[in-house]
Amino acid sequence: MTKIPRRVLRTVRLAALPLLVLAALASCNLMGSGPLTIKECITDFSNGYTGGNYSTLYTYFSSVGTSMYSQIKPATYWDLTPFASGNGPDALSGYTINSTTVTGTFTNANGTYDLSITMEQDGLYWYIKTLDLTDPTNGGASVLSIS
Amino acid sequence: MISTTMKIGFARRGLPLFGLLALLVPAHLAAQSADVTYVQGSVDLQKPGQPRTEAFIGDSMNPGDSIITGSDGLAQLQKENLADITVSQGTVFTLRQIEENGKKRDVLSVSLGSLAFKFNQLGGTEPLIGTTSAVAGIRGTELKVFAGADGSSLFVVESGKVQVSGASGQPVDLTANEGVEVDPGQAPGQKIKVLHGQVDYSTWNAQKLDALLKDPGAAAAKVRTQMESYIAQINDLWPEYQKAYAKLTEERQKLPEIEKKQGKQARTDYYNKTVLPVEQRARGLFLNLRYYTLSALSLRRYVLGTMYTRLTSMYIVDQSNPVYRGFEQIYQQIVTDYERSVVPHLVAADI
Repeated sequence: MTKIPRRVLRTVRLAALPLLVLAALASCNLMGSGPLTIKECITDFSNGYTGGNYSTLYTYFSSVGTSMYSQIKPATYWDLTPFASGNGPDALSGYTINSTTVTGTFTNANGTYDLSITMEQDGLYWYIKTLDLTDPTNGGASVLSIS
Repeated sequence: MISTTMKIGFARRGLPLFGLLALLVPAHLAAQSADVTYVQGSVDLQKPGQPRTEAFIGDSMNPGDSIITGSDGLAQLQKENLADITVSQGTVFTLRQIEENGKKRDVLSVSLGSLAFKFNQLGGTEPLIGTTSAVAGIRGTELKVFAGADGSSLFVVESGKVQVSGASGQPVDLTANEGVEVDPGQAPGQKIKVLHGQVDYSTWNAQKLDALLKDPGAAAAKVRTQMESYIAQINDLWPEYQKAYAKLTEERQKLPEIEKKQGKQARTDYYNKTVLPVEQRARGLFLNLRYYTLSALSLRRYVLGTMYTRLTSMYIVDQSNPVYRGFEQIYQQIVTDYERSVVPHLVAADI
């Protein structure tokens, strides 16, 4: 068997080290949980409120960028918004993503509202930073504002 | 409607605080975070429901978050280029929010320690400054706020105007080089003249600590009064919130019938004109209820908890001492009231 020179081994080890660190970091992130794209975040949020999972809806918002983060944690808060089951069935439709802004319409049994969402990336994952619902039939009056 | 609720709540205790503040301070204040711009020594960031972590320059502080400085700690924060906040050593500083006239308003809350606040933009939108014993509305102000080991507070104005309100009595207006002390659960005291840089937090707090150790029962009784004040606010707001929620439920239940009889557009019109305002009012009341609930949590955790730890350590071999027994009796009463009236309004993420 051919003996590998110590100098070559050392070079290989040094070259492999950054790769190992990168692999470790990547595996840590992949082992975490969170939406990896804006679309995934919006879909998860939408599934959350249509499924009535109000106590976890805050997890789709940015703990850094959303000032109301601690206020919107209780499930009760969401029961006081147009996302409440009493206002259902809900649907988020026809939305477009332009850079970090999502615009579309939110429809529940009571009407159709303009939806505007700004997104923020934290590490690999995307979160909602602000969410606004306005009434296009009433001069764009605010229906709900989370910032 | 929501600000009316607040006025009523305070006015019942002779403290029309928010009504007066509405005249002094512009109504709109957008919800904003504060960014950590400097840290020195031991400085931690506590987010609700998460472990306390070391604070670093660039960290953002959102409503509900606390900055906690150790005995060697100092932190400086900037609030959206509008205000500079200096958090001195041994301080628990929490950013909170209340809702007035449908707008969210920040409250910079000091549970323990001292805070210096400088607002950079005259005529802008200043937050309220709160301690466990008082609330101040400010205008174009450099202000120092001290929160003592016994739950008392001292407000010292360096420039601008401040109106300080306690749990009872009339608010006190302060201008430059004036200060006022407020004991927990009490009205503001007499105004005092203060020369720039004359008041040192360590000296002031040492006096408060001496008074606490000399008569812990009296100090605990003041905290009890303050806790009673928060509980009274919660008890005022809770039935109003329940009433608003019941009204909301009732109105929401009418919607299918309206749609069935008059069509989809009639349902939409009824929701927008009748149900939506009720929904927004209930949401505002809920936010205000959470403000007082979280204030009570701070009083329990940072003032009463610290007092209890200090006195229990001091009397560890003499717990039958009448001074300690007197304190413990009041302490237990406060804890009982807190658990009965405040804890039911907390959620797991708050703790």
